[in-house]
Amino acid sequence: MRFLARLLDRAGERVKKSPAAPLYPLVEAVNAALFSPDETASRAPFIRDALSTKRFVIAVVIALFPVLALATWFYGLKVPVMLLVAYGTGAVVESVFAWFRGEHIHEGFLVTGILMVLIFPVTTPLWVFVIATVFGIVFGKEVFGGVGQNPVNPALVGRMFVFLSWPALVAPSAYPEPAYRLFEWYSPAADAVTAATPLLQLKTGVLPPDASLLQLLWQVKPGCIGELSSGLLILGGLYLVFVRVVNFRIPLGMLAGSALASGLLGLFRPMPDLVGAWLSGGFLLGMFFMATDPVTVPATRVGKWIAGLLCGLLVVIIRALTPLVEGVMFAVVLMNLASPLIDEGVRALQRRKEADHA
Amino acid sequence: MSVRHLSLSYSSPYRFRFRFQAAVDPVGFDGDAVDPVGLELHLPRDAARVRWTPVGLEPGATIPAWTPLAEAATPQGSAFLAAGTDVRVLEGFTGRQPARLEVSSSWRPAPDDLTPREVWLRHFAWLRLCDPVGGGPVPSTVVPDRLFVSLFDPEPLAVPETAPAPTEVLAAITAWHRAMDARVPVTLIVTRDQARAWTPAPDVEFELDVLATDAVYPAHHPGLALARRLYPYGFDRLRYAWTDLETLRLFEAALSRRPEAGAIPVRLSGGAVCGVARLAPWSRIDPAVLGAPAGALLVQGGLLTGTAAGLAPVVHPADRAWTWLTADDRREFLWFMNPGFARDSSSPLFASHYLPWVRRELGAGLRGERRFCIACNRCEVHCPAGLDPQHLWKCLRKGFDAEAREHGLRRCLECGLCSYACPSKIELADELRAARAKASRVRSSAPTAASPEAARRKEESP
Repeated sequence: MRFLARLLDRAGERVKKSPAAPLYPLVEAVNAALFSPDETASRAPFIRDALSTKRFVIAVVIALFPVLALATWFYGLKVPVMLLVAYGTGAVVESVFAWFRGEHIHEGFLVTGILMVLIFPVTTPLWVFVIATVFGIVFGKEVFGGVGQNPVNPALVGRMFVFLSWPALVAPSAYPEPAYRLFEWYSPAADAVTAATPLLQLKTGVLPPDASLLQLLWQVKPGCIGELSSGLLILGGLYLVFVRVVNFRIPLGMLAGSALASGLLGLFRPMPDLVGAWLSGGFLLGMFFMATDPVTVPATRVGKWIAGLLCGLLVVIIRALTPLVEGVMFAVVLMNLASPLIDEGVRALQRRKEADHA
Repeated sequence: MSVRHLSLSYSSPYRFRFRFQAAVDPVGFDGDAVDPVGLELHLPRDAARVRWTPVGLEPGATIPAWTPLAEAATPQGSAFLAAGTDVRVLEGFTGRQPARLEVSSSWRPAPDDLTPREVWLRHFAWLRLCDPVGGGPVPSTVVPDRLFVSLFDPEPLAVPETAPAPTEVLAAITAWHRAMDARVPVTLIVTRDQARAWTPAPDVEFELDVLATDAVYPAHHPGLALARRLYPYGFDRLRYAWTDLETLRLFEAALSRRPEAGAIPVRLSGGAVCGVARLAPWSRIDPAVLGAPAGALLVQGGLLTGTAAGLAPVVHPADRAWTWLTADDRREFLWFMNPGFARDSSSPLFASHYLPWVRRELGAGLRGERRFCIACNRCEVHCPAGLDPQHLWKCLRKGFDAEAREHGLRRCLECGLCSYACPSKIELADELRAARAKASRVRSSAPTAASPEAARRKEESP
């Protein structure tokens, strides 16, 4: 192992001096992923918590891995290929920007890449997917200064771009029916069997009579890759909440906000079943994995509640009052954009309260 | 080895000094000793005008702890001075000549049978004159341009009802003003519970600014749990917290075997080692004296709040401990997948979180690359002063110094827990400390602009 570490060190040095210098951040990232750095704290405090950002990110990847594995079972080899494409594209874009800035590659794109796969249907052509990834990482994150400084979720930025550019390719009216395709390559021509998503059925009110909430929870559903199984998403989300990678205030706020909006709108017009709306579409994926990205939500605790409520309200309003079937993407991005304002307001109130108290 | 000298002297009828010279304290904590500043403040109103009568100071005698060393009758009742530990009299008190006393420090748990007055005296340790920059107590001879008096309860004690009443605290501060012949604006830092007792604002002869914060270190606070374990390695700010007395006793026993030098080595994770020792004041430090290996980093103070020593360090009398630290240079394969059974972390992502009985190793290595803040809020969870370090840090980075101050930069205790907890390995504590130092430089260079009293005077006489 020490031999390998030394080998990577030497390779990094050599790449740095060679014409392939732009690739140095990639080599360095591999080195840092395999071996811990040997840096010792030189300023107080001289001891440090063993937690690192890599561990944070890996926890999210672990939480999403079962969903991805199940998707591979039902949608075939295209799913892992899409993941590889997302990671490859992300690594190239990240290392170009890292080279320009003279920085290291941040592990944040491991999460962005996996989310990218989950928010697209398997019918998406790979070129659209690559465009979405590049656009999302460049214009969602890198132009603002990289990880930690992005105002909105980069995966959603990419998806929004291609959603508005090629709506038919990204959000078709009918999705392929999940079936055992583990060793197959999904092609629309071969798999003509399509189905409406439960969300569309809820919206148009033509939910089949045998559909129940339990089925929504445990059965696989047509839709985007990540919407396949609500149960696995809930398990992964609860794991993240349990290990405190995800703050529980956002998901709870979203649930409360959507219940509130659903109740209020229900006074004026018929609304789909609330729990059914939670379990269908991208609500769970957005609630546990998109809206909870700590960088893009308010930093204050009260602000997190407000942002969650706002996001839940927006999801239901967009789903009910606009022609769009799915509202999670726009709701999360709008909430992200509002979060600096929410933070500012909460902090101003806190300051005033403190001044009154003292 | 743990000998202290205590001298009692009057320099003028209005100035009264109780000097407490201590050898370097190994762990920053002694069971029963009372803060000298606290003792100095134990003066009722008008106490300085009263003649103090020393009692029972016969050479060679041993005075038990909490026995009055000097007594005075005041309009408010009798006042006394006492030491928290047993005192041996070396030379008696003769007129203007101060008495020389010897106080042996020993690690003892608090006696249960304290009278209310003794408990009150003990609680007076809370009344600390904080230097807002250094965070430490203000030396007794210095008259600062602003007083920060902290009534923080570092750890909720068993008898909260014996906390000093507002009148008592104000009397003490007033007495301090008279003793120092000074008139200084006072900022009183209290908890929210204490703050309720302070409304309406009392009528005092100095400018009083009461700053309420959330209670510091509630019992479940992760910082407190960490501080408890770290105590022997120098968590200087928690001087009044009752901590693991068994550990302290062991530590003391180990130190007494090697009284002058030689540090106790402690193994950290990743192959690093550290050691803590106390040294005689004004002695030159050689890492070899401490028993440190060549190339070890020398730290003045403990592992949490110490500073890296310079080229030719000398032990200052105020130093409580010296630490050496070797590098954590082991490169671990797939380290972020390590389940972490013995890792010290407050995160539930580590197995040690679920196994409290497992001995955890502290890590000296950064174990991760420096990254930009991902707003995980762990620093906020750890901050004992209830601040949001990441927000302060971002304000400072953008140059919004005034906003950082509004959000409580001056309440920072410089305990370093935010840096400790940060997964992105940002030197939060270091940068906040630098910002505070800068703010205090600005304040001292422009005192007329900073002092509200001066500003008011300016307004009154245009």
